[in-house]
Amino acid sequence: MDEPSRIGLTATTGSQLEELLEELNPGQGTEGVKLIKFDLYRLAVALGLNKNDPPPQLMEKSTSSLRVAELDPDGVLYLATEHSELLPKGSSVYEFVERLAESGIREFYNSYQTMGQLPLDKYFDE
Amino acid sequence: MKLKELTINNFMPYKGEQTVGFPQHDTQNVMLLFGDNMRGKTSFLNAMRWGFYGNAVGRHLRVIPRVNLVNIEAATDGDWSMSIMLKFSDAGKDYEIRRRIEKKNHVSQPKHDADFEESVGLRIDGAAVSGDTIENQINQVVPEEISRFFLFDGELLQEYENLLVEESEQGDKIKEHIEQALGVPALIHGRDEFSSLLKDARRAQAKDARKNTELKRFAEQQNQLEIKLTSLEKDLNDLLKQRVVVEKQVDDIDDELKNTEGVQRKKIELEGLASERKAADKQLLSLGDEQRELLKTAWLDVLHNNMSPLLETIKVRRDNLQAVAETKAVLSSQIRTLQRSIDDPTCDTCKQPIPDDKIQPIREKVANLQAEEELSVYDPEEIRVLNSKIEKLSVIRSAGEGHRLRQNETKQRQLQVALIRVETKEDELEEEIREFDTDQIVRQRDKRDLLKAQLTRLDSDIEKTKGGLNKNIKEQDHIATLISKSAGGQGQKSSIRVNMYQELEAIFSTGIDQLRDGLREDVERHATAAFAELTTEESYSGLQINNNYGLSIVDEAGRVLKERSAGAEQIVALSLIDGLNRTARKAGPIVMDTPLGRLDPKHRSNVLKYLPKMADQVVLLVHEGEIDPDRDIQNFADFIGARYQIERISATESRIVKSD
Repeated sequence: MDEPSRIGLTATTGSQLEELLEELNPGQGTEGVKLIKFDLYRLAVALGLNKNDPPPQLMEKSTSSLRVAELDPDGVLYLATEHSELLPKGSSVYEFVERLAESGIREFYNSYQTMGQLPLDKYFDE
Repeated sequence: MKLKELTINNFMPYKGEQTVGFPQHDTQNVMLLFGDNMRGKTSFLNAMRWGFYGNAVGRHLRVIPRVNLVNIEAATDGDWSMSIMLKFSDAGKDYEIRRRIEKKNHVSQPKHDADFEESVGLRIDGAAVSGDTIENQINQVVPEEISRFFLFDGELLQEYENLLVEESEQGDKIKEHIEQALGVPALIHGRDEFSSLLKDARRAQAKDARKNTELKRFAEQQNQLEIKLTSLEKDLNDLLKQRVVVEKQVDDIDDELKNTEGVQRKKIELEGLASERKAADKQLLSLGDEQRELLKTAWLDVLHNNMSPLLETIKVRRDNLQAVAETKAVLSSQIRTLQRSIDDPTCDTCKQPIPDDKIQPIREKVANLQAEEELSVYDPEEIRVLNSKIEKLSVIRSAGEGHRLRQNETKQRQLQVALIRVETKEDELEEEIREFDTDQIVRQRDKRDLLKAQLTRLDSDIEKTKGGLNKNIKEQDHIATLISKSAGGQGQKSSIRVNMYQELEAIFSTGIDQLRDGLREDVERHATAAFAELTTEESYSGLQINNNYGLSIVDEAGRVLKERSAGAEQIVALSLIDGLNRTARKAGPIVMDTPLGRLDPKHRSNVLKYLPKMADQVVLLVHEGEIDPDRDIQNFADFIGARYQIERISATESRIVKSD
């Protein structure tokens, strides 16, 4: 199976990610640790792999803005997805990664809109 | 003297006419008037003072302007009249004094004392006393000089501590009041009169001396000294006037600051809250950074939990394959060794040929091993792939991000709650002090410090001038003596006068000292007797009086106690009041406003037991924090002749009602 060299998010979810980063990061001109797209993208994929059901297909075409070599330099996401029972047989791993990210980022965004914060308690329930 | 009845009309918080009857019984001689703070206890005391003497005093013993004496509600209704009527008896005669002020007809809105008309009337046994003798009549029964000790404000008891501080300005004031009450001024005035006469006599003597060639020089010196003395007296007078002005400014600022004490406290509290808020904001920023730092690698923690079982499975598979590979290698080695024995059947040790019957089992063994080796199948490529996967999956390491993110969130939540609490409190405080100019408070404090420094300088100048005056008088005395003793001055009328006034002045000065010593002994004796009943500490042997009428506690070994508690100070002050009261007059009532404020229950109980003995009539103006109406009263219930309560009608109106 040929794997894409770039993956991303749909335009809608892409803007939601941008908005989310703006909310979560300190204001412009303020010093402090800043999150980048990759950080939330990877987290969305990892959390998606923890679920019982596979994410839905993308509703629209994604804008492939992220280089896979940069997103997953050690192939860890690939390996984890490849071994996930959620991955449909014969599917491209990174395309599935894209679906996981799309679904996860939308969920982040919606939760943030509702609660004003990410439900970390739920994500990291011990 | 015995108080009978007080009728108050429109005086301070007491709107309309209200009458209070004082207990007349010989043993049930205590009257209790309960009232919360700000309800009118001190106003009740002032109503009596105003009735007797026509003045009411506030803080720093400052006279309260008439306009502030009229009840605000009545004044708002247009009634600018206020009156007090006091009935009392003394030496078998009944007295009735009525004092009244009313706005002058032509004044629409009174502002100054002069905007009111005052009228006062006194009846003795029903007969009216003529106006010009009223004051004198009242002072014969209840002299104003001693009013401080029979109409006294317990909240000022602390002031008596100043008597223990030598050269304390407030102590000097109180000493002056005490001496007024004890009658010392009579002698002081006498001495001052002779000083004045002596001055005139010296002037006359100098004038005579000028006519004598031999004494002319003395006359000239005396003249110069007198010019200097007049100048020093003027300086002293100016300095004292300045001092009064500055002191009043300090008192005014003190009053203002006292009123804003609450605001100042709140301002300080606000500053504390602002730092608390800053610290919380800083901590929240740092927690935000930590949270984002953890979110960067949180995906690894999630995958770690997810992939750990897979990694374990792969590792087991890889280990199994490696075990097969190792077994295969061992079998191959064994087969090779045995095959060598078959191919060359010679013993390695003895070099003898191995018989065939021994070779056969080796052949069978080799066959078995070869069969086993054929079964040990593995794919080295699979091991490599598995090792590669293990290597990749090993990158997924958890630093406990999930757990730490939860902890971080809990901390942020707690801090946000604390922050909201701080901000709410800040808003409340801001609202409470919104109408106060807090910068003005700071400015006033600074101004007060400057004025205090000015007072210190003035005191030093006053002392210097007084020193100069004394020196000048001594020099004049010396020259006057030289003139008197000289041939030209002897026998002259002016010299005889100088000698006489010098001697009389000295007699009065000695008399003042002797009277003071005697009075101090009396006050000390009476106060010690009172103290013995009031104190709860048995090891105290009594009180010791100083030159200022300050009292120190003395222990069994005769040592003066250096430190004493607030309660002990109040007991000593009450003993002093009792000592002064007994020294200054034979009998009479005593009215005490808030006298038990700083006492513990045991001392309070002692004071309550002693109070009925302190005077023929005792009027106590107290709040329920001082005397518990249920518990404390049991201690002296038999002595209570009347009980009243001040009820609040509004912030500016109170009513006195009789209670059971």
